[in-house]
Amino acid sequence: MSAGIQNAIYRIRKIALAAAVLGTAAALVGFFSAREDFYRTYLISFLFWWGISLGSLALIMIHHVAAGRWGFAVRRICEAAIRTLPVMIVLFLPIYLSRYNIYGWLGHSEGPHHEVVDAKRLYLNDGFFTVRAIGYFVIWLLMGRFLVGRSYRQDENGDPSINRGLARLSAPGLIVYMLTVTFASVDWAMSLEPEWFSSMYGILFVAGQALSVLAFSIILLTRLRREEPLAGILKPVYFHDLGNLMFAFTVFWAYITFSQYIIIWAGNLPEEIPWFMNRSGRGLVGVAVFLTVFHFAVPFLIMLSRLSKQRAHIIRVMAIWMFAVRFVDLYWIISPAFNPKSLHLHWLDFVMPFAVGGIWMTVFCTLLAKRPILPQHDPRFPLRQQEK
Amino acid sequence: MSETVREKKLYGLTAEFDSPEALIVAAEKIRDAGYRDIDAFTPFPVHGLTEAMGVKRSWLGWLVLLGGVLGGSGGLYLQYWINVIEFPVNIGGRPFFSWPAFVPVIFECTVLGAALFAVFGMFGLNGLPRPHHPIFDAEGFERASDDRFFIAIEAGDPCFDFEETRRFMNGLQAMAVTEVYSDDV
Repeated sequence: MSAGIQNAIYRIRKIALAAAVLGTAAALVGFFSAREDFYRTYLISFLFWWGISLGSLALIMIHHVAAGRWGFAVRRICEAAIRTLPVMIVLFLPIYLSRYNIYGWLGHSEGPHHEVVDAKRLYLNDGFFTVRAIGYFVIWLLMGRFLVGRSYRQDENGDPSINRGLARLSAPGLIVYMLTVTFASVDWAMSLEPEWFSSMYGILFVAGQALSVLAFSIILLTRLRREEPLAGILKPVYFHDLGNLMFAFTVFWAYITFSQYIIIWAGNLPEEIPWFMNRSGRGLVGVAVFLTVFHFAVPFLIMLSRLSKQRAHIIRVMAIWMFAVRFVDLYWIISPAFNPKSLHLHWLDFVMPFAVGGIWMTVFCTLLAKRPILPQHDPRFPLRQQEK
Repeated sequence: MSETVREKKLYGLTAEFDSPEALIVAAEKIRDAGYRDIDAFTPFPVHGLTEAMGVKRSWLGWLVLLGGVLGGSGGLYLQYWINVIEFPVNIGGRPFFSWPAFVPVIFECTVLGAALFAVFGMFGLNGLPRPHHPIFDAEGFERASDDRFFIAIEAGDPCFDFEETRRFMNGLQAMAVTEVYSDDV
């Protein structure tokens, strides 16, 4: 790894470390002063950063299956993000240990729990919840270990058959990813409102994760674009490719979000509409309109233009923007489960993403700086192609 | 300027290459020499060729955008006219103008409008359909759909001078430089 890249990554890590230390201190204050808000904001922040680790898993598997120029510089970023998964287990512990306070169906205090929830006891019970959580992480860790390990091994021995092995795991791996993320999002987010259900819910998280990780990669690559050896390959056409993917997932997010809405709106059934009722109280309608306009309409129109994707400084702004509105979307999905029908904001809402993100980024930067920033011997990307 | 030989109009000069790399090098030289009315013929899309030829950006994209906007607003108006003006039906007590239900149709009409404008706009901008083109008479041109790469400088180019352009093209290390004449005078 060149010194320029390494220094740039260490500079980011320094900021991340500061955010982690200050953020954690503030979060601890929040834990003792505003327990409810701590749980709520922690869950949102965890789901956001977990989504980047998991989204990386998906993106890198898509790349192994479909190949393509766009994956060349993204690969090491995704691999470092996948390797943060052990940290995500540690970061999941606060949620697990507080599960009786976070998930109403686990607590006993909720008096009139309908028979609807009781009918779901086969799935919604403490033991199975625990087993599932362990299962998800084991599956993700094993998949990540295989994907990252093989890729690193190719750096050393240049064995071209490794690509085949990676593709062979990635195809079924993508199915496993879809299923585990769907179930995990049901367990950790949808079950906050245990009477409600939506078959769109899992894919909503999948689309969000893909969008987050693409935005994250673009932010990082545009930042590092002047450093060798990245400067050699990060031509406008490279950002055009990544920008197209981010654009596609922006549309996909809107498609999924709206599909869930129109199905429930058209059905107009009493067991389905409370979710939207809880999210349409004072202020929350504003958030929904904000998401429609700034998570979809405006980015859609801007990224429609080819120039906006080819110019690194414009696509960087778009990526930072998409990254930020992902939080707003998760806030809108999660927060009203705790505080229905009203826009509830606490200072922890603004601190917690940086606390969790600081920890995540510190680990991520450490892992990223350890390996060459580009795959060394992947036959599909001969190094001479970089010079072009 | 353009001479009439064999009582046919000169279409232009073509140079033939056996690799996309050689074609791109030649295209860059032709572009830098100031020629604008040039065209390349390859068996498959060659990345970087349009840049090497200095082709200006097509305004097809704007046409497609227009098609999408027309399609989408047409779809909205169609539904509005049916559901609110012409044949209002009370469905589950919803307002006649129930926009969420209109969105899928608006989306589909946007795609349809954009796609139609893209296809037919491309036809129009390329002057298609066109059953014949003088380049078809170029010697060995059938290999442009197999393993050869052609680039042509048209006689209508302001910089075109038969002798000088011919000399210039001979210096491009092409496998062959041929004159192409068009039948319709």
